[in-house]
Amino acid sequence: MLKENVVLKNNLFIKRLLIFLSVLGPSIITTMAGNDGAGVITYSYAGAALGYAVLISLPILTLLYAVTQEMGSRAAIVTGKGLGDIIREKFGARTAAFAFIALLIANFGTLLTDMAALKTAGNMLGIPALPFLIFTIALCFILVTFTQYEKSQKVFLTGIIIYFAYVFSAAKGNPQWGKAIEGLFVPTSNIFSKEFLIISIAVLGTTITPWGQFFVQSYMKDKNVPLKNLLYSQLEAFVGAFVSNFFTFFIIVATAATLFTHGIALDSGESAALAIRPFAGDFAGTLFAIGLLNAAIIGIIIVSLTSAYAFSEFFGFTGSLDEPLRKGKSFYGLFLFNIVLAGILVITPWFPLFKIVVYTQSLNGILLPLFFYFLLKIVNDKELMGEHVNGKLSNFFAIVSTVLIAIAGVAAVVLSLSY
Amino acid sequence: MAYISAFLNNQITDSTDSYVGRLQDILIKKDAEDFPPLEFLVIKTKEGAVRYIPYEAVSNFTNFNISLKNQFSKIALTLLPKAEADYIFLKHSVLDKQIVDIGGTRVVRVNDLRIGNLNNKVCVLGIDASFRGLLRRLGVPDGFFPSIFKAKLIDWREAQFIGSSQALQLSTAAENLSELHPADLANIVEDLGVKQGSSLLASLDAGDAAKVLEEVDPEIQTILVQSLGPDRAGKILSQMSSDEFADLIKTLSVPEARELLSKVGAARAQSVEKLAVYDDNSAGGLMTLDFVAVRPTWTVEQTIEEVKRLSRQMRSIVYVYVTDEQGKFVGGISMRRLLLAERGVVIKKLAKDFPPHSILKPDDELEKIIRVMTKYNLYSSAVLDTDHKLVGVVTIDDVMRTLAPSA
Repeated sequence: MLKENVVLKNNLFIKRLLIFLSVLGPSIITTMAGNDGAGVITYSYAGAALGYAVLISLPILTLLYAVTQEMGSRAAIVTGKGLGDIIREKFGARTAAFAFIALLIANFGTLLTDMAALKTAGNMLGIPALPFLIFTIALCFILVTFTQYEKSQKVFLTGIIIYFAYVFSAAKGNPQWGKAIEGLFVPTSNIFSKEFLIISIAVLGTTITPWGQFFVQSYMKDKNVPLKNLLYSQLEAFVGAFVSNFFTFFIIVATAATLFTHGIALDSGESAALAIRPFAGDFAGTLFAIGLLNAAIIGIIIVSLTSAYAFSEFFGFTGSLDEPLRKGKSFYGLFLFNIVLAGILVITPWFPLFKIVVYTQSLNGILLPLFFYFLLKIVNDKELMGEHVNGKLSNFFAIVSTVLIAIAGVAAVVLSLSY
Repeated sequence: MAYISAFLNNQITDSTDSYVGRLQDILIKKDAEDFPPLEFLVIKTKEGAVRYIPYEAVSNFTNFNISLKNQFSKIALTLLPKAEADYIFLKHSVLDKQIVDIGGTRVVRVNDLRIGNLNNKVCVLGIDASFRGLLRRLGVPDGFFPSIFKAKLIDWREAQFIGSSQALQLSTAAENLSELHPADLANIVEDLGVKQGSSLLASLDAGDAAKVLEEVDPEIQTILVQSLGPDRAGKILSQMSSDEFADLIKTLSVPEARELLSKVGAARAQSVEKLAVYDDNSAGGLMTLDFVAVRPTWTVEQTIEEVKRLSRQMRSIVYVYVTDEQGKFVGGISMRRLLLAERGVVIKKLAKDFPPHSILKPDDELEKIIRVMTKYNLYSSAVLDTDHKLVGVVTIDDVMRTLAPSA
């Protein structure tokens, strides 16, 4: 008759673990994508400039990240809609148009950063730039267009394994693990120095992003997680934030142990892979470059995908990875347009890449508190969320997070404009 | 060209020419026929309170001027005469939401609403889901590059609202929906995503819903069934053909499957369970238990009556099969021969015994099935077990489905 697995029936833990593994995906991929090319560059720079001391920001960051990802996941599962959908339906076409265009521009800036990081990583590994870029762009397009959700999720999750390159790279630099752990929990004296604040804010800004908020919700919607598994997805948000910042820890330690300890200043995060070679060995440098390559590709795909999702949500088309090409022309088309344009601009020699990147980072900084305001209104809307509306405790955390992020955002804008 | 976006948030004056508030929303009756007339204006007063004005009290309703016949304080209502749930709030519940455009069989967003005069009443005529409508909402006047991006209207009657947490129910438009071919409706259900898709299914009558569900992508079928819950799913599944039901059951977890089977009645559950044993691409896995079988001694007349009786439940009837009292296969007769035969003739005389190689066994693989059906030009093929009993029928559409699974 119907197949039954007696062992399974008796082992509740394994059963629950299997359900957890089945819902795993959206949140953890989103948080990993927070360690995109732009992220790695920022973290490397932070580690080199401030050493283990900068690690103090990680625990709080993880908590903030988890809370915001959880809200996004919950909204997606309960309403079955993406953030773009809900903003349009709740706040109207005008607000949604503004949000959408702003998001598109901000995302494009991040995309440019990741594309530039890709080019840099290619350089570091000795691959010629133009063919490499073309190849990667083509690969990304094929992956997104011709696979369905499940397959794409598997590919992204596999990309996470490559982040272990940073663990090895860090270990090769002979770090003082004791000091590193201490750095996580014990604040040092220079915590309020201008440099510390600037860099901490940059770290925050590259971890918690507008696109991250949109992506987790859109991707979660695309996955079709049933409501009864909500708890597991909420758990995933916390696991995802932890896993992502786990790798961030090692990225920072990799440069802290080598560059900071020896007083070498980095002029830009991109040269980190080269700079650590004298101290950690060539192999560590290569691993670092591979890690950057992986991070850049993940960033390119996911940020562009965010824009494509937002486009379809705003206009009301279906935008789903499950769609074949002929049905999802506008969805895949926008994705392709984004990555090709970014690729072209990065290769163009006179394009003011650095300036644009700085300005769009600022845009991300301004938009973030705005989108969190929307998100908060949404998760507190009883009509939308039913019984899954925010409780007092969630609201407390959520509001505190939003305020902190808002302050950081404003500060980031002010500081970057005074560059 | 009157669109609702031109009126919303406009100032309203009453008979004393004083400004009383802004137009926040417009109400129509939920069960209105065809093109619903405007029933109430929802006004947000200067002080921030919400008041309702019946549309009869409106003297002027244009882009530039919305004014009332009487003094505001005399006609403004604090509460609606009927429950709030009896009305549809056009701005809150319709504008910017997604609807199913039945004519175009696609899912779109409501960018704007067209209103106009009909039988001396101002009614909602249609939905603008075009890019032009979106531009208009964003403040771009219609006169701007009128030739590019024309406004395309969707007839209000052709729009199907999607049930959500709001009060809009699907009751009235269900008739329109069932005019669509199940495969097209299945596409729409797939487009809508889980929550809205299952709402849509639940609003159809069980037989129609079953036909639609059969056409939905298997992975999404499972999710939809889970979202519907065992009671609603059970009603729909009991109308589904048993082979499709069996395929679905295989994808569910054991407790879920049990629960569903308990909702459909013992006989049905048993036949489904029997089918679920077989491999997906074998004759047993592809076959359906729905076929017409008659005794050899029956007449053509009796056979036709039987076909009529069972017709509703069957997806397609190509042959009528003849079995003895123990269910053993005797032969079959095509519908064509049946129609052409004289009413009084006994079936045994007409039924052809099929060549032995044209009959399938439950374990027969897909390749063999295709060969047999092609060689003998069969649209459906009988499946017999080791006792020579007729256990099921493999129909050509299921075989075709294995060749183009995502069509």
